[in-house]
Amino acid sequence: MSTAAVRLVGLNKRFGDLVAVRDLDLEIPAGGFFSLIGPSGCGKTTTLRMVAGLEQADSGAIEVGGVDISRRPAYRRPVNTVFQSYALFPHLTVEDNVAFGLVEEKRPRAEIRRRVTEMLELVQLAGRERSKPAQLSGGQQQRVALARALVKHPQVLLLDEPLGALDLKLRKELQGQLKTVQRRVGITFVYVTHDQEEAFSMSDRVAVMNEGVLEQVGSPEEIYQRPSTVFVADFVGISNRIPATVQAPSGDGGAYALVAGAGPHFEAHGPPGIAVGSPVTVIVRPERVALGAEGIPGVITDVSYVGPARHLIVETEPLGLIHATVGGGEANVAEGDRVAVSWPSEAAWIVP
Amino acid sequence: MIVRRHLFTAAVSLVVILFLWSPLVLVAINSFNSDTLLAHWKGATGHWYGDALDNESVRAGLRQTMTIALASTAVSLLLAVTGALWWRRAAARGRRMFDLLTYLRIMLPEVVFAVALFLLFSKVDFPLGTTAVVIGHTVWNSAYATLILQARTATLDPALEDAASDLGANPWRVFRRVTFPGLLPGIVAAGLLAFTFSFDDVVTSFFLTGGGTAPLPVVILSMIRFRITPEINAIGMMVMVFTVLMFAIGFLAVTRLGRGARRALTLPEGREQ
Repeated sequence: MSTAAVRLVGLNKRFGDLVAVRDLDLEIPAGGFFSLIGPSGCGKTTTLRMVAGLEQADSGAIEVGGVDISRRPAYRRPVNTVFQSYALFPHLTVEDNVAFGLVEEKRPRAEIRRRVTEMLELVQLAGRERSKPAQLSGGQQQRVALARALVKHPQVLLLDEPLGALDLKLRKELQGQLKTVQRRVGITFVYVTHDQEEAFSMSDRVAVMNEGVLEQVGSPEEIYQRPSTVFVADFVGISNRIPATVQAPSGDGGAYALVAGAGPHFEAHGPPGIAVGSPVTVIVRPERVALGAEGIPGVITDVSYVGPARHLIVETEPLGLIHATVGGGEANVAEGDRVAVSWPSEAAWIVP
Repeated sequence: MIVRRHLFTAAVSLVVILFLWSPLVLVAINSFNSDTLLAHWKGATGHWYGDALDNESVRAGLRQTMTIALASTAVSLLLAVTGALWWRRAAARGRRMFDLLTYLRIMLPEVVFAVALFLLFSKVDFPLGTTAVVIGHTVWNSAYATLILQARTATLDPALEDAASDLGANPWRVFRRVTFPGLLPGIVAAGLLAFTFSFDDVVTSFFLTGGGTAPLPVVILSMIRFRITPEINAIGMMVMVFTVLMFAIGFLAVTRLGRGARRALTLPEGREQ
């Protein structure tokens, strides 16, 4: 009795000396868009391939829809994959590529025809039925790969960096389409990518992996605002990392009073149960840093204009370099300006 | 200076070309020469072609050659396809051993294998004849076919087979629907090559035929031991035309089959593990 579409229990995988995945426990809720992110070689693709049955786990269990499928071969698992290279069959037409899995299920001809047509309409490829994959653009090939996997109505659709080979503009467009398709078909999507922005823009929940270990699972907002490790904080965006010591729990709503070295005292939020006196890192996102009259004094050492915003680097006496992102319209900042930086206490997050 | 050097290379080339091609031209002309002694041109005739086709030992030889070539090609392809597929997934040590054994079958003189097989078959009382010749041809034919198919498997993206099994195809269906079509151009090329090599083989056939029906090249050899008849020119021409046709068909088939598949079958760049 669980609502998890996929449950991984104590999953391990080694390739020779290399530990690809270590003691992975993960629950992926049904019906949503779930992303698995991390840097190259973090084990995310291996995890996906183990769910698909294309890699054999050394130990652990893989449940899909509450059924342990870890002993089943790939062709008997209720999941389908969209491959990074698309892996379209070059000798078959678009139509035959999409029909491939239904033919293996020995579905009646009429049903295959109907479902293939429907699916090609869903991915906006109606009219290209007779084309060979080599005659299609990268984006179109990607959509054929999606249609070929979705047409099987899998319990879970696995996507292995399916947009990796496309240019930025097309990526953005297809991200939107993928999200729309997921909402329409309601199938659980498990999406692997190294691009956190891509994952955040599409996902309901995100898991961050590093060196074969799961670092954190949560909504994109949780991951971004309340990272549980310094690695996660860094991986999902630029952050100011301020080393500090806990002085006292301040009582209200999980906030703590801190001191940064010999310098300023300030407040920050964090997970419950951090011991007084323990050294911690405080994360402050640059866009939460404000310039004003009040706060920690410093000098602007760098201004870079990036269209919608400006990135500033402020050198402060007690905290070193602080990154700040301010609106692109604020004209009155220049290198060498003396400013004071501050942030609301709820924007500071403690990572033990 | 430059002109003279050109003259020299041109002269050498001309001599070489004449030397290489004049026998073939002579055969072609003489196959239509009505002079029985082939001493002079005495007018054109198609008579010798008729004779050759009527000659029972030539016809039996041709049948025997076809049987052997087809059987040896089929067995070679089977060995080469299974071997290349194993090789693709094998560990480095196994691959090296496999490659060594393949190259040896090509590099060692044919006569060595022919004699060795002859001695072995005599020793174990295996009868000489069709089967023995097929085995003999398969020794080197399967090696050539293996090389071609190894090259072909190297261009197969393993993700295609992953995709097929992910879509519900069991291992046999994966082979049937994805791997085999991917290998097909290689299979056609290897098959034609093996067939042609077997078709014109003398050495192995000579040693292993025994008292049975000799294949065509052995028949020709024994015919010219007595005297050169105009008929032999006609047979030579027919074999030549047949071989060229085979290669032309093979070339067309491979380029046709390969054109669409080749681009998409190669590995995409920048694939992350």
